[in-house]
Amino acid sequence: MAAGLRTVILLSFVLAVGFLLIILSCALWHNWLPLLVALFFFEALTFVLAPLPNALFAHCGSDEYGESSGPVDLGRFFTSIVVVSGFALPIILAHSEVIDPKACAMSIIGGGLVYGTILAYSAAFSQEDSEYE
Amino acid sequence: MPLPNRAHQRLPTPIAIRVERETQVLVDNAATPNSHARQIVSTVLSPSQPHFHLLSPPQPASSRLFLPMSLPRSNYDPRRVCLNPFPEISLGKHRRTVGVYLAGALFALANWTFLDAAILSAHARSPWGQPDTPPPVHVTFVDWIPGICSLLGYLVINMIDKDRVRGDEGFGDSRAVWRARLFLFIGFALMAGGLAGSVTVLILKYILNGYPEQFTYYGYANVSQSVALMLSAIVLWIAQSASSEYEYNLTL
Repeated sequence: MAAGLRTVILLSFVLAVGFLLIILSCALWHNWLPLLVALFFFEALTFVLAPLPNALFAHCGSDEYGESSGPVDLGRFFTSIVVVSGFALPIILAHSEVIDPKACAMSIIGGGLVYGTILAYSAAFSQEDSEYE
Repeated sequence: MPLPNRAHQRLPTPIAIRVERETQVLVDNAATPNSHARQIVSTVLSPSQPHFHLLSPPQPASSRLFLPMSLPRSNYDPRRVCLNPFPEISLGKHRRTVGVYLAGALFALANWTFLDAAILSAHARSPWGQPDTPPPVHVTFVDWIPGICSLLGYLVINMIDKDRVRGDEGFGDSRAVWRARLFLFIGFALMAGGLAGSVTVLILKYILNGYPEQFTYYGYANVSQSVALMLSAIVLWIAQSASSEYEYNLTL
């Protein structure tokens, strides 16, 4: 499990860097609106994780039909909306010159790092789960 | 002296009869959607002469069986219509997932585009070079109406049971099919009305009044919101209704 441990440490490091970028993008310009991005990405976290077991069960249930049910689709739809909103919000705030363009770039990169960490974490550890089954 | 072309002369003339029979078996199977099991049985009946290699090498009666994974010759596909067939994008079983994600992204993009214009208008300052004149135009409720129409149409379209619209015979009653189609029509009419309304707002409010480009952007954002909402509805519809394997056979 050395590789797993290394993965965890790396992911937590990346997560910390992402948070650092988001917080810096707010604190350096004394404008705390970019923190909304973090909110969006945490929503994205819940939305991504919520339909996952649902999708697995749907796959088990109707294998021969190959169709997924409506709630799973709804969850994916909202996930996509939230993720795109998380990237779009700093751009819009920078466009209307509420926040600085540099703050926009920092918060986008930070949000992307946080979200990528979450995705990588869930992907890595759900794969290990399925290996043991 | 024997003449070679005389008919009654009994020269051993090599006669090759080459019988090619092509059997095309179309297997509409979900596992192999693109390939047909083609079986070519070519049988060459040749007289057994030793100098027959002048015409063609002596072949035994051969039977070649092309496995179902072999590529079909495209000019034998009887289902194709166009000369160059469309590239078949097969995302496989992730097709529905990708479509739903794409539709959600388009939906969010559409609404954020318009909200961008609204926020920009709320924070609008004077035109370039004239610090005392206020901005000539703002995003008002008129600009919101097409977007609201499109959103309502989006909701209506996606709330319809898609099996009802297809209207299979003997499935449900016909009045339900009729009502579903009416609702679908209303939804598409709302979306098209939103698109038309946004174009109307763009032309009547922004272009004809000759505002600078900074402000015509509001109108363009409105139009792109409607277009992206329509695209999102189409993508979502395709992703949700084309998940059955029957659609694989539709080659254009």
